[in-house]
Amino acid sequence: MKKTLSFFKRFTFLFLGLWLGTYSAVLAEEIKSEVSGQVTDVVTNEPLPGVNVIVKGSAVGTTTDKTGHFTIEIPDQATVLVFSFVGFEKAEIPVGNQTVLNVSMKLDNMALDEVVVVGYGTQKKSDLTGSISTVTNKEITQLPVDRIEQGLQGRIAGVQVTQGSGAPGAALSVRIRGSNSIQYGNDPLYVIDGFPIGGSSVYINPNDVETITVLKDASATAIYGSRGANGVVIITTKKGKSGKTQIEYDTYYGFQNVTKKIDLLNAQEFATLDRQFWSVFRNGSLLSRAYTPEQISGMGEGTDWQDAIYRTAPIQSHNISIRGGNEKTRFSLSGNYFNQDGIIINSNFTKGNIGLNIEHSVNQRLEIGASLSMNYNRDNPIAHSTAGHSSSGVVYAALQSSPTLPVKNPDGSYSSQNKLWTNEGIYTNPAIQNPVEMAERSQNKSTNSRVLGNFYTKFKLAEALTAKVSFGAYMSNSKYRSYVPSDFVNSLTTGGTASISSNELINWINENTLTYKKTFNNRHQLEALTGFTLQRESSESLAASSQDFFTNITGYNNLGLGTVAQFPSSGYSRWSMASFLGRINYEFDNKYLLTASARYDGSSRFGNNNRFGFFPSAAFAWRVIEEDFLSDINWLSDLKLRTSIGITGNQSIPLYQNLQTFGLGSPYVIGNDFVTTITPGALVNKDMKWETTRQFDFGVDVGLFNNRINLVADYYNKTTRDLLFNVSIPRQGGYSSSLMNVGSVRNHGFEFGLNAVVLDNNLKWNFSGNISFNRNKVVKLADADRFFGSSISSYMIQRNGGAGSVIMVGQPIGVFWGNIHDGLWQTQEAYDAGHMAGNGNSGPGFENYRDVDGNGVFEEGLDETVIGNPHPNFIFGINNTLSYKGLDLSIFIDGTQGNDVLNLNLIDLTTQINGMNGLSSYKGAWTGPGTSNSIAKIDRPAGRQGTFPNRASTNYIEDGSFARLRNLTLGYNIPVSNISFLSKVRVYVAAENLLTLTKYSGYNPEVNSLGNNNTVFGVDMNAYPQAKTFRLGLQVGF
Amino acid sequence: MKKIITIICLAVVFTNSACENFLDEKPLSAISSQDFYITSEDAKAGVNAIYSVLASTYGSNGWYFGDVSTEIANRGELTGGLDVMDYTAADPVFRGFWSENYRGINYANLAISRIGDISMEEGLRNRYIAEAHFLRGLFYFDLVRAFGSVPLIVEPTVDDSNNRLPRTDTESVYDLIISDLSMAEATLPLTYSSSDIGRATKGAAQSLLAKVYLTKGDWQKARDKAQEVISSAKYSLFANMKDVFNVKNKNGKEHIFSVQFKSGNNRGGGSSFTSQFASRNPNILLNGAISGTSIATEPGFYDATPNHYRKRIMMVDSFPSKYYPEITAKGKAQAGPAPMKYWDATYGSAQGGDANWIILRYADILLIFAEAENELNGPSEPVYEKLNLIRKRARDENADGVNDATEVSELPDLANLTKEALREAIWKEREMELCFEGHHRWDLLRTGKFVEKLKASGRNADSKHVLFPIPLLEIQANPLLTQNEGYSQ
Repeated sequence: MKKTLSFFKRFTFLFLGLWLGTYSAVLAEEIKSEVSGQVTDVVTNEPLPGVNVIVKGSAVGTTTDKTGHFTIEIPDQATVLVFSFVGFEKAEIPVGNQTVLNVSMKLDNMALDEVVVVGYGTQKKSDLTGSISTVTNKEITQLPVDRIEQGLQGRIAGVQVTQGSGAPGAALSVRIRGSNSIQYGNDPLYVIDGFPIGGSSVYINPNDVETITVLKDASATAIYGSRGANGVVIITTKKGKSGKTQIEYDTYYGFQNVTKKIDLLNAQEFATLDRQFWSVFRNGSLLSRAYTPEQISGMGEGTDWQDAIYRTAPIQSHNISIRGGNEKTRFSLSGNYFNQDGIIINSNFTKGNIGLNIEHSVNQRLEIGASLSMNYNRDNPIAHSTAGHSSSGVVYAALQSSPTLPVKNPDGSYSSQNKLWTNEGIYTNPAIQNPVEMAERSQNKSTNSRVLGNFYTKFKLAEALTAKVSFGAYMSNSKYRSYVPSDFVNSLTTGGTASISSNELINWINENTLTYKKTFNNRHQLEALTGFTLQRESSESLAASSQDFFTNITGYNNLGLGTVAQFPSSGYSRWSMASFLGRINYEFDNKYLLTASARYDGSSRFGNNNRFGFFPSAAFAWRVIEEDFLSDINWLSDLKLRTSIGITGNQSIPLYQNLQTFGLGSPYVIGNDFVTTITPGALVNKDMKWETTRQFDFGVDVGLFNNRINLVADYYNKTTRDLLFNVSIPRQGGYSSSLMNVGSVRNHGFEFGLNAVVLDNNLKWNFSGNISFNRNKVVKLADADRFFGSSISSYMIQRNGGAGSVIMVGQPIGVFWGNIHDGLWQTQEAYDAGHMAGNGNSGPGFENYRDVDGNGVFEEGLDETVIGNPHPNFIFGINNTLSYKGLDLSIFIDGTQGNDVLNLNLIDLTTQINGMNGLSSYKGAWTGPGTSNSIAKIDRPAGRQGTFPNRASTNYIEDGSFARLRNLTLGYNIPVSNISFLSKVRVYVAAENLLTLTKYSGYNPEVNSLGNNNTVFGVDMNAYPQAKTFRLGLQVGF
Repeated sequence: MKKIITIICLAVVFTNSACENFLDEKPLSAISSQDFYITSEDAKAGVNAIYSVLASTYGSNGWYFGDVSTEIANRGELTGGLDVMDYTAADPVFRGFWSENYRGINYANLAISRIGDISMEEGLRNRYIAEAHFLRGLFYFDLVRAFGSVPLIVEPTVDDSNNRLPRTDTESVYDLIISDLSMAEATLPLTYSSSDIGRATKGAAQSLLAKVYLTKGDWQKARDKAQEVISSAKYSLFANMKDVFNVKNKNGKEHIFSVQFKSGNNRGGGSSFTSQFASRNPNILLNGAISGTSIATEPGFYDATPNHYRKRIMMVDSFPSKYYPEITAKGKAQAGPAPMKYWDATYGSAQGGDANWIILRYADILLIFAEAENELNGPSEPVYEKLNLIRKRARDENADGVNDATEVSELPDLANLTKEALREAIWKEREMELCFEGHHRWDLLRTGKFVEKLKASGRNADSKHVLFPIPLLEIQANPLLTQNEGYSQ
């Protein structure tokens, strides 16, 4: 600790010294002379206002005024002025001895020289050697996103964004070129204005984002070393520009509705089938649990619980930004307010952001800047759980609740299945809470405050050499509260539960880089980067709860009121990283491009033996279009071949896995009092090291017809080795698992992106589309040839210890695992002659599960097999933008093809009529030979195990392919040229999720009840459905 | 200019050497390995952890394996499972039992190997080590009876080597059990001060040894150990059968070793026997608690048991019952007569119940003595004395110690039997006295009656069922393990 401290002291002094030195050196510079002139369009000769004029190699610059004129101070006659303007080709003019400089600029059809943000720098698009894609602000803000990741959905080839839950603010799953890791971390690394943060980008205001760059291949990501294997998402926020101060106000207001309802039985139908069950079950001895025929005949539709919980919910966003500056100082200031009610009653998500960016050029050599982003959000979710029966949520309860009960009784109290059972002896699952009551009376609130600040200074040490030092900090405070009222059915033994938990996180970073950039003999361009970074994150957690409340009045606000305090818990953890990085870009004759990069990462997560890792990469690109032999082919405007190879890592494992620890065991009683028991933690593996991914990429960039059509195609092949996962070890040693580097996973695939200007007259039509084919395969596992994915639900536990999904060699990660459902046994004779004869779990009218191993008997645990694949054959996104005069229309479609969904809701809704509602199709249940082959007889075989029917089987696997009209926007730019203070007014109407083409029978094929899980995909169990949104928006520029 | 570059280079080089320190992170919210097993408090917490495993192995497996897997009990409102011989090696209950016992063995091995180095009071150190030996012996005894030969692991697990051991023959396992228990017997105290009640005593070690010898058919040693327990005069029978199970009498004069439970801690530590054994229809639990009804008396056993006080209080066919006036629920117990040994009027908090699980009690030792002595020397006065002591208490409804005529007629003293008839009578007595306490399966197995009895009750039993299958996932994880005969992998 002491050593570390003194190291920091010395380190800080060094850089302080470096700064002071540079400041004094810089301040001594003097200004030489002045140049002025006019900038015009080469074709129309019109003056161009707002053109950026910059002294090359510095941050000193100005912009042209309304008449295209400019005046700028230059250091000497060797100065080169750079003129740039959106949509025009950049011009570089040496000043020489001129004092008046008139410049004409020409339109740039397709901006090939667009600058792309890469790791620790920027590059011209034409100079890229890696596989890198960019999404702009316009695309991100086309949808009402509360998380930036949503803006990536369907936009980039090779990037699959899955929104498994429709809850406001819900987390998304982002996978770049497939899943590499089985247990730990498949999320890309997010880098916000140079600050690498794991996990998510939730707190950034989408309107503040200038671009998102996605780094896909190893050549691009190796500079992030041990965190680069899952791809890198670089978010760059908007900066101020010198010139007129621009004020913009963006807003929208809209309404959301559930996209679809599930067709359930009505009251009379439910009661009829329910009575049918009880009249045969145990020979009718429990028939008193059903409604009487008289009661049933008096029933009608009853309650539609879906109508009772879903609503039309408003969504709104307000955003204001002020940007401007002069050649010395530029600033950007923005604020955002976002409020979304959930489509389920009583759920809401609110968010506020403030962003500030300042850059200041002290002189030609020194630039300093700071960015600050503050965010607060508040989430009031409803209980929507993935744990199935053990803790049901609102959606679950709405699907299962008996339609015979009203939402509220005539006296205003909520109806209760528990009371129906205890008071009237009618059995409907008494453990299910009234869903409306659950949404309205159980309380959940989580709040987050986050601050991200970054300060940098950039100094030109020499003409070609720039040093950059930055310090940043990210602080986050989150707090979660919940209260389950004392009179809820799951409070019978607890008397109500109030909980509060909080987490405080601080992450700081220091980055120091040197960049050298020079052209030799006009043919050799060299750019070299080297750097050193330090990063550390510490986090503290605290949780407390208490039970048994005599009143529900105080909710979670007074834990002390509960008579049974639960043990509080707290924790502290910290990780540190120290890294060296370097990159060289070399370009010969504008034709041959070479990139080599590497990072040397040290991480506290790993044991002393494997603490440092080296992650190199190399790439080569050939701009074939520059070769003479193509100069005659006019229709071909760009052709580039790229290839790269490299190694990246993944270190997202829990902390302190490299140390054997002891912790508190379960309590025991000695001397009639509780005593402390201390037990060893997980078995430590001293040889644990990084997961490494080796990736090869080959790509082609093609431009046609003066780049009106651009095609980017890539093939990649990556293999992840040394996968870290908690291997289930023989338990005879007293431990159940150990973290080991075993196994390997391969992802390979093709991805294509196409951009085309289809029409370019008065009617403009831009088309962009992408399609990606990824194939994922587990190549090697530990000594067992398969293991099961995260338990999908306590309800789904099968007697083979696995449930639903499996990881096995030769298959993609998380294929569905279960029984093959060969229909229902139609006759007693067939059943008696079959492989399930004598198996008390089945019988005529019940499930015929295939005898997979062919030994003549169906055996649970031995006859399961792969029954479906949640990974799509391909994913795609298509965006069409049309504009005519002031009108614009965009149509954005995305989807997946060939993926399966395991619809667990079907199990409950077609097998549990005794006490739970069912699908409307339940009426078609088996009643005799030939009546049904999928919905079993309404009865229960005499020898049936409680969990037997709840098996993952092909009967519950559905095709999850879909094509979704993600967004439809129609906008109109109101002409404002004669209103002096306005620069732009646009109104638009937009709709999201208006239409979904799918065969899937549940709410939403793009589902994963287990959220951003590494091993379980495509499971539908009471997931929060997605919303259909209609919005009206306004954008005003001043 | 050059100067600046030099400074940067220096910074980078210098930082490299400092990196190691920067990257050393210690877990501040956990105890690292080198900081544990240092003090006598550490030793105590480590040994307590071994005991805590019993709460897990006996918490639900005691009666599930010992009673539900036999002809005297069934799964109540649940169906399938051990009750009807419907199980495979994939059934998680076997893996749970296997891994929990081995977890306890690893804790015991840790304690045995590390407590010796702790600088602390000698007597206490030896006692902690002896407790660890006792518990390790118990875990292995439970494993060997359930699975037959099992891997014999006697060193704490620090790497993969323990995980790769194959099964060791049952004789070696029994050798370790006897050596562990003998070591415990030699060191453990006869009694504890009140703050240590619940720990293993010398009497517990002797009693368990008696049971181990009985299981092995070593009648002489079984008789001797039982006699030593009896002669120690530390134990005696409660006058009223009902008092044996009253939670107020926990760790009483008849109790030799029990798994300790207590409610009131929301991290656990309470038991759920009261709920698991209680009838659900009608629900006989008080305080709004929900019954588990995982076990009920098998009608065949109920009918075959002569009507006497012990039967009337321990198996209740319908409510209300005059022995349980607190229960207001009415009606015939739907799943079968409710076993009432663990019924507790105070049960009902979220933190479980107070009922202990009795592993060894004095009545069991008296019967072990009787059985071993009869095998050794045939019917004799000491045998009848012990047996009739239990029968007398069993029929004594008013617990006055006086044999009323009705009581005697319901369950008369035994006398003048042949050796074979006496053996059968002792077995029958064990069945009636110790039912629902997790003994019956093991009694049937050691007497060789398991398959016969279960078949007679209509169950589909065969010779493979005398051992449970080795858990499927364990065989998959350690291919050196072989499956018991008759079970598919």
